[in-house]
Amino acid sequence: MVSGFDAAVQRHQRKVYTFARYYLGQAEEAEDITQEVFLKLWRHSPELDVEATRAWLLTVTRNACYDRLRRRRSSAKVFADDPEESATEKVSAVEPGPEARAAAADFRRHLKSALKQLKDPMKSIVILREIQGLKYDEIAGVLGVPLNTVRVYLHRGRARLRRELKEVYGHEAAL
Amino acid sequence: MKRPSETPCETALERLEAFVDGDLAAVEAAAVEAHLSGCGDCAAERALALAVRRELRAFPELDAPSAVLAEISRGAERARFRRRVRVWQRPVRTRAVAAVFAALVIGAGLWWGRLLQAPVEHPPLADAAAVAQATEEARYALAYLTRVHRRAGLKLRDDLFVERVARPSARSLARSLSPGLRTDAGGEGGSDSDRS
Repeated sequence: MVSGFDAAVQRHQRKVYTFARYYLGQAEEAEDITQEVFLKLWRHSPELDVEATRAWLLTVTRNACYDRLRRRRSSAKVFADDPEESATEKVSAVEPGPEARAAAADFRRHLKSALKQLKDPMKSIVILREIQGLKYDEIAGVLGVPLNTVRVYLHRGRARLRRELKEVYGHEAAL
Repeated sequence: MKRPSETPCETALERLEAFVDGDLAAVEAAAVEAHLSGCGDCAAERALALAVRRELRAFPELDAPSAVLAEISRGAERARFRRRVRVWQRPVRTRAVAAVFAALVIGAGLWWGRLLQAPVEHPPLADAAAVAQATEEARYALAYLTRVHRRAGLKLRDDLFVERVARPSARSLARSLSPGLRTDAGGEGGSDSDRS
């Protein structure tokens, strides 16, 4: 039982942790949520089949993150405080010169900050689709919304991110 | 769908994300493309939209720290242990309630079982009229015997005969013929008329 559970943790931990991390913008809280979600999985594992586990985990993770965010509205932490931030920057930075690298890192930091400010379900949909690569129908299953709603909110969410970045950079960031 | 008050730029920007994702119908996509090729601001918006999408997709998926995974494993072990202990350490009151409930269930089961095994009413082997007729015939036979005894000089007391011989015989006869009938029903009908 526990060995099967451990295998499920290994298989799905990245999806759960990644979602929580980008949704909350906080490593420590994302770790808490990851633990909480997998212990819930442990309690419910006899009822779940293997196929449904990933969708179930993401639904529970999203709900837990939503609750957590609602509880800590007043004490907003900055994403830049995140200790893993610099590691993330290094992985995705591909520009050659130091100035270009700094500019790209700055763009990503603002993008993450804007993502953190998005409201649900736009935020969940943008994370699940653009960062985690889920298909529209999978997202619809996780969030319990119609397929077309996923599409509409994805476009709306990205448009909002674009507007936020435009306020900071104008059109320069894209060039 | 384009609203009457929308400018061409508003229409194009409204559809920009769907255009970037390739979700527009061919006709709509061609219209947006045509606008973007002639509008610098909207073209810049498209470049920004593409940059946002590209950077979002470049955000890496992250592994949970190994310490977190180890803690999850320990937590599951603890939860499993607690579950086992809870089974054996349930409060006394809970166990008492469970015992009473079990006793009630068993008692109800036994009572129901007895109900099921209770004797059923069988249909009578003979009807009441046949029993009465047979009884009368037996009485008549006994009365005849009494008369024969008298003629032979023997003295029999009718009342004793009726009480000790005729009536018990009639009862017994009625009982054996019909278990469902009341045994005294046939015995009383002709007790006086037997006397000759």
